[in-house]
Amino acid sequence: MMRFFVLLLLTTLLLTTLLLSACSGVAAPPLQPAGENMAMDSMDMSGGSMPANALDPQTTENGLFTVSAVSHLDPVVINETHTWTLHIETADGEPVTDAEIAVDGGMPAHNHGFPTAPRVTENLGDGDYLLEGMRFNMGGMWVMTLEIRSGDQNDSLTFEFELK
Amino acid sequence: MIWIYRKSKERSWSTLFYPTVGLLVLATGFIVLYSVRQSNDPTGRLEKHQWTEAERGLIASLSIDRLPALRPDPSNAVGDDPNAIALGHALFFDSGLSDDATVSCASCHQPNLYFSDGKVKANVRGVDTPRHTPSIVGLAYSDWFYWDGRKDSQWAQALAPQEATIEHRGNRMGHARYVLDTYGQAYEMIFGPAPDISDESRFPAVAGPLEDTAARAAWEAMTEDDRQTINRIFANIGKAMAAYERKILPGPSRFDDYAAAALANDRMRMAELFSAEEADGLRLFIDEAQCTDCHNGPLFTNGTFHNIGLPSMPGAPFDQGRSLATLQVITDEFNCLGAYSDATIEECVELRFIKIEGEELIGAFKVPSLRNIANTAPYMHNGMFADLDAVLRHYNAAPPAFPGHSDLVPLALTTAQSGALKAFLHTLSAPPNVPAALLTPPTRSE
Repeated sequence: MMRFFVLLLLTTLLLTTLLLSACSGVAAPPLQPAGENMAMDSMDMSGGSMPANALDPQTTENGLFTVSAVSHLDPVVINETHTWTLHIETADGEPVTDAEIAVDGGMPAHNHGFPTAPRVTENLGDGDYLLEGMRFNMGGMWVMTLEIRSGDQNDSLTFEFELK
Repeated sequence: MIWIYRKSKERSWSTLFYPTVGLLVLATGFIVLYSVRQSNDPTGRLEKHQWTEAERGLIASLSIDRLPALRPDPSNAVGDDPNAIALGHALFFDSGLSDDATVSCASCHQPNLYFSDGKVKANVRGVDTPRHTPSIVGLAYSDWFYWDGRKDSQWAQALAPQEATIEHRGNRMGHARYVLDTYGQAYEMIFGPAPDISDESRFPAVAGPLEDTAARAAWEAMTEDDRQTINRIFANIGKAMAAYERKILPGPSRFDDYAAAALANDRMRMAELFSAEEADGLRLFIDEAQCTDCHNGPLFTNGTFHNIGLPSMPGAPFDQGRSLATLQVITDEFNCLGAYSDATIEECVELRFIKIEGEELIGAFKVPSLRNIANTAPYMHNGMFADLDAVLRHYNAAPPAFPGHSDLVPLALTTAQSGALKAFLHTLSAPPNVPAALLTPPTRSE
């Protein structure tokens, strides 16, 4: 007798659960009144952004240099002309203090370059270089290519990153 | 179970009763859930307003609430000076600055038309200029002025029509004299004591670096110092006009209310604000149609230049757009780095890092704001599209550019989708955020 009631109860609960989940699958999600969304703080509202230090240090194609690139604008957002610091080291971790750096980049998928002409304007010492005039004008995948010359050595690399 | 069934016939009532109760409970639960859902969304109209967190972020990024306070223009020290605003207000509406006293800035930038003119091309005294009059609402946020960006400040832009043959048809000497004569006190309150330019042997009646040979000859006969004196007054006239124009800002539209509701994920409110069609249009705008690639941020523009493969108007030569303008702005005597700018070299970031090379500059024009777009027909730098339907037809077909390359890909939207996109664009209109007194000519109280 008891086993019967237990089984009946379990079956009812199971069916109710199934019905509930089926229902909520069809119905629209519950309404949320203003101010109750806890995820709002983390929501990106820029239309295209990334943290200033989003780029991992990267080694040039022939392994001569390791380059890190950090934006002074944090987060990096679209439609703001801003500045970065590049840091260049040799493969042994020694700062490269005499580098000449050519900067290019853009959105390969859109077949256009940067909307500005960014360039390195200052050697800050200790392997740091000031890169001014950076600007992104839309969200999506961007590339930045650096051609680096130090003494008689040349090497290049391309950073790839997404503003989302 | 079968075993239980057979064990006692007495229990057979309960074998029917409990399943019945169970079924009733289930049915009731279903009805309650169904009716709750119905009361929230009786017609399913909330479904159109269901956005992912990323979509809500993108919608919020377009809201006017995200528009930062207008930063000072470092090249214009009086850009936010109330006296300069008042003088600029007067000058904007003053046809006395034109040679026949018939043309003012407001002739083409008409306050009741969002400071545009509704014409295909700006047309003065029956003569067309090469391009369409843009609205100047919110332009103070731009880095570049004119469709091709051949000026890098509002004040430098404001000066060009003053001497243009088709527009004011003035000359800077005449302007300097007229403004000092008519608004001398106001001028000196802003810019300090005005120089004495009464000596006609040094300062002839008509002079300026114009096409007109007599005016040009008179200008070139002046000393460099005297030319600079006049240029300084002329630049100050532009700076006062720009101070006024900086007050012409966009107001919050129905879309902005919707964006606030989307940010709060308040779908009831969203459904009150937007029809299903408008919500469909917004969805296309931020997603499939990729409009936000260029029409992004609170002003719906990325402020840069793109070639969208517009065909030339019949009989009109190819308009180079940005690729020519870059050379003009870097050599402009009134640019940010010039002698009449108030900015330090470091503050002229846009000019210092201007892109002057690249195929994408050929035939490229500035991305216009889409705020009030439904009220500012016709469209494009040459005014070639009479209405939004024509614009959407172009985006749907997206013919290749020649010369240069088009940044568009054909949207190929259905008629319903194009209709939805258009419906959405109509939600971006709102009266400009301008003090009422600045929308009409000032009463002369000097």
